[in-house]
Amino acid sequence: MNKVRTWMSALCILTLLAVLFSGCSSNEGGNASAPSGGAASGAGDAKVTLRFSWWGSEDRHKALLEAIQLYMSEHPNVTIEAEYGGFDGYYQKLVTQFAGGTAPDLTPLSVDWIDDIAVKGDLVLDLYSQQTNIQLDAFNKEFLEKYAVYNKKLVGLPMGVNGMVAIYNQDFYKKFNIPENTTWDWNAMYEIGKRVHQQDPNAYLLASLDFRGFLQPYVRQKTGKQWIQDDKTIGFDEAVLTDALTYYKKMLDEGVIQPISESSLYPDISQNIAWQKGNIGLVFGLASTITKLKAQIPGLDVTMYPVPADAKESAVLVNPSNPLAINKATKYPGEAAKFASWLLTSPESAMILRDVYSVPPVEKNAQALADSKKIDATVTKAVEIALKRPGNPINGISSNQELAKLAEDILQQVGFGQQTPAKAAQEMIKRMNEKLKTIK
Amino acid sequence: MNKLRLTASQPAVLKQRSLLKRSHGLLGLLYISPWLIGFLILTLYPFVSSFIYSFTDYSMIRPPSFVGLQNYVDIFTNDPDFYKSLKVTFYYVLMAVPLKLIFALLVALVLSVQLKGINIFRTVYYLPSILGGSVAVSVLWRFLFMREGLVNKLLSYVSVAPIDWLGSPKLALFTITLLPVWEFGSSMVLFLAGLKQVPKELYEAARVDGSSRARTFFNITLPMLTPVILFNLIMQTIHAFQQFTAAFVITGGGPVKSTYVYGMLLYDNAFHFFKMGYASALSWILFVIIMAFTFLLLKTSNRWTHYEDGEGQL
Repeated sequence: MNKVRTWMSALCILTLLAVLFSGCSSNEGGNASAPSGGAASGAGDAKVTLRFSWWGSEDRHKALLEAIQLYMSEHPNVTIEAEYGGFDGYYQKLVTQFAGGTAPDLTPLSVDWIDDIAVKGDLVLDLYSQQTNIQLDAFNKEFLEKYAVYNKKLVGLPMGVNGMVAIYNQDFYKKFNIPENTTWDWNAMYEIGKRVHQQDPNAYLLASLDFRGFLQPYVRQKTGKQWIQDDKTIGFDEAVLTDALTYYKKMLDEGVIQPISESSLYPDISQNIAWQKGNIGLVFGLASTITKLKAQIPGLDVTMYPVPADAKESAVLVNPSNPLAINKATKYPGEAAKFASWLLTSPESAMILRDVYSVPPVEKNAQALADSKKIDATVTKAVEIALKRPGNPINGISSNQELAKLAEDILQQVGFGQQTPAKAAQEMIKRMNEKLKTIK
Repeated sequence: MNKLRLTASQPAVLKQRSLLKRSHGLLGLLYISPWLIGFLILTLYPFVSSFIYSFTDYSMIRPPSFVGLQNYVDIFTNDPDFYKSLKVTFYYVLMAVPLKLIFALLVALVLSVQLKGINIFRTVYYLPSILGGSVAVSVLWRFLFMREGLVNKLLSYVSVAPIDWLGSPKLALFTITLLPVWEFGSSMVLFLAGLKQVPKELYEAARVDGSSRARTFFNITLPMLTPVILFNLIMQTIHAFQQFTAAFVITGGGPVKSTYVYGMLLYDNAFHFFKMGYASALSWILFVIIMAFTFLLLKTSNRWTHYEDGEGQL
């Protein structure tokens, strides 16, 4: 009797365990079924499943989902699984997926990830190898070579043409009598910003100045060189850096920039309450963010990023908005390439995507959109302005995350008055040199 | 089963008994196998892997390469952020743990009275701690304490100028500390249980002797509660050292790294700079620090902890 009961309980436990584990594996099956299911039905007009992942805001999600639906209806053997979300944490998730072998088949890459993922990591397909499946001649060859080709590898297809401009609040301009055709340089920012703040202590010309939007370009304008040269030496000296940090402190002290204690909580300008209330004059941003910003403040216009008359290079950021890359480990390189090509070159797709990735990279699509007024004129204007004086493309090592964080820290220390600009510049260069020794 | 009589069949009986013991043992293992498998896969394996990774240079994009003790050396000699975050974490622990325990004890005292419906209050006060390391609560905290937030709004009604709760390097850490202190529920429940265990005769005796409320508290209640205090102290200290969510969501480690707790340093190195080996080394250093603190607390507890049954002395 005892023995029977023992065996019965053992059986129950085993059943429970089996249920538990089958539950686990069916979850994994859901994720893995894409490649394994496809492999089973190998060649021919087989069922293909592609995982396409991206980041963005609501309007981008809606547009891409619509485009995907259209493609799937025209190609019934292809199923595209969409995985999307916000930008925050996307890179962390992507790298973890690559490490674990579960990365999606298609994903856009932010320009500063290209060095790690595409060049050093070699995790994406060289799209030159898929030339038969991609309409390469639809893209501007020079643009491709300059911005999407690294070490002779085409790492991704540009999803748009993006550029950094100064986006200003038209009401703010009117309120403080700033002429709309003001060409900005750093002196003008200081003078006019000072006047604005004196007139209204709650108003600031700028919300904040950070590494990517100010320090790096400011220094590059003075030196004409990369932030970090290709041979891993720093492209500037202590004097230039001290100058930049002194300017930054000056701007804070005179109220041209919102106090750091207020703005530090809002890394994203759209969350900044002062900006929402119309108390901030302008912000440096990419053309692709304009539609999102206009949703909050419709009266926005754009002008050129501040470039001094004696700048050695404009340092205006121009890049292909997020080259769409294909995972090297994808089971369907051909189908993935065909989809990517359709998404970024076909007129129907361009009509759906409009300006969610800034201006489309294919000129005739951009033209068609502008003609039918489907694209926000401000976005087109922004890209035009940026392309008038594009800066040199930023090399991989200048986008290194550790160095960027170090620069942000130093900026904050200067901003909170914890270090003088001169001392801060000294320390920054010292620590940068130390870090550069450890970076491969 | 005759244990006393040695017969020819004794070895067979012994064998049967040991077989039974073994099958009981196996059955026991089977019962706990779900937990055991989970422990092996999700706790022990990552534990050991992270120890191994701490001796490598591993960026997740390329396979790990062995570097020996270099990570540990770099942490101690080449990383000013390490010392900064240790300092911030220690301040945080020194603020959060005592505050939390004091609040928990005070509220438990108030709620230990036998009133009708007192259980509702106990539940309500316990609720925040269920929200745990929740991101939603951290976002709520940010909303409350930012410059244009609710707290400043309320203060403005009593003519207090807006305070930079989260933007000032001097205040930010304190504001972050308030969040876990608010979640004192679990400690409170333990104190409630502890209070219930204090023998009523002691209170009666004290009343008879004419002891004041305060003296009763300090001379009877508190000493009887010391085991619970010790437990809460250790658990909360361990927890506080591992703080991450509040700092990450509310201030991102800023301003000027004034809320850059150790958890943030670890996160940045692991998921921002993708230095997995370095981050693993950092986590093992934290483990040693927490162990040292726990050991210290336990060792010194002999002097001040009173166990009713005289056991539990180290």
